Amino acid sequence: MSKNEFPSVFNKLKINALVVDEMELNRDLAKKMLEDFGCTVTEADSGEQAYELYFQNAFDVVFMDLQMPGKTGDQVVSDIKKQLANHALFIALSANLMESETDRFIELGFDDFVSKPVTYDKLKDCLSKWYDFDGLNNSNSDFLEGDGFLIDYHKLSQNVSLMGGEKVFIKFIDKFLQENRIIWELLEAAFHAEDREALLSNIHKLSGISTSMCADGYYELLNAVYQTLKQKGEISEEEMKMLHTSSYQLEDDFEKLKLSWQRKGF
Amino acid sequence: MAEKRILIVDDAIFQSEILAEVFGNQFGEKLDVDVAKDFKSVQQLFLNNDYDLILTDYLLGSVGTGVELKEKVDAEIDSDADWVLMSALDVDSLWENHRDAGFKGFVHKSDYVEICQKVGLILFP
Repeated sequence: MSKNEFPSVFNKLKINALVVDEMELNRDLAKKMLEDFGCTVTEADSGEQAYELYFQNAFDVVFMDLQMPGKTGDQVVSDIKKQLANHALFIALSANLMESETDRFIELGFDDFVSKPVTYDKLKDCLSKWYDFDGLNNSNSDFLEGDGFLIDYHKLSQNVSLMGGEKVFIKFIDKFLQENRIIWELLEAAFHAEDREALLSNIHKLSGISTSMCADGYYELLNAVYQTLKQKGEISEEEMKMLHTSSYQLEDDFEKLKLSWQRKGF
Repeated sequence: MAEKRILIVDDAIFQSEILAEVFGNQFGEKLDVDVAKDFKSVQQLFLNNDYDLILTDYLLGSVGTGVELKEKVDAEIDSDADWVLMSALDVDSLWENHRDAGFKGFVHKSDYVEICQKVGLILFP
């Protein structure tokens, strides 16, 4: 199959996908990511169930784990292809094949392959080969409305989902805001005291909590200042000011996110 | 008692608490989660527990690195636990530098999707 045979339908949110994996966690994660691209997702926990569902639905794309107890992924694909000349796009999922082994999964009857663990970027790269879309721009995720560069909203959306929802995550936003302020007080004291070790230690602490909250832009700024401090032994007033402004901006971004969730009633 | 037990090691308790919440939500009662912030607390926890997997941060502040922590645990504690290294730094470079250190995986510490999948693949294949 070529890319042109698949319509550009992500804008219309009409991609119908089947995710087949015996592990619920893997299915949930793939489902969340695919839904973020605009797909409607059905799940199957075995080859047998996938085969049955395939003939009851019109799937555009099937993500199939290769190794499942009972009917394996390639057996299901082979059985479907024996029945139907026109079939969906079959994408293999496996932890045991390397990207370089493309011939193997094509021999097994698949059109493409995504290595496990499946990530947002791997799925996006794979789907981009077959569909003309800009995944992020067409996404229906509420999280992507953020305009700041300090937070990776996409990653945050995945993590919130894994954690059980916005209500749970708000607890950590509050904790982050509190810790960020406490560490900043220590950082400012260390800066005025010209205490290099305390500066390094507190920037390290800020880096740790910012990574946990997917504040990747903030982390990069912190890391740049950390490296400067290590190399030159000091940081300038201007660098501190820039960092602090970013910290205020980040706090503001998280407060806005909280408010939008609260207004939505979770 | 859960089927498996994991130990998260990070000098920032904040990160460990978030991960514990994520694991609780994803693996439920199948997985018991403990957290430690340094070698001393790891030693203490090993007195009463055995672990299937240790997930450690790379940069552990004054404690050193996760690689050094593993070396210390291997030398001083009798354990068959698998190890996964997480970091906010470039994970590919970490893998390049420490691929022979006996870790079963190298993951980015803010990518909970990748972390959950790695933990799932190791503990519940």
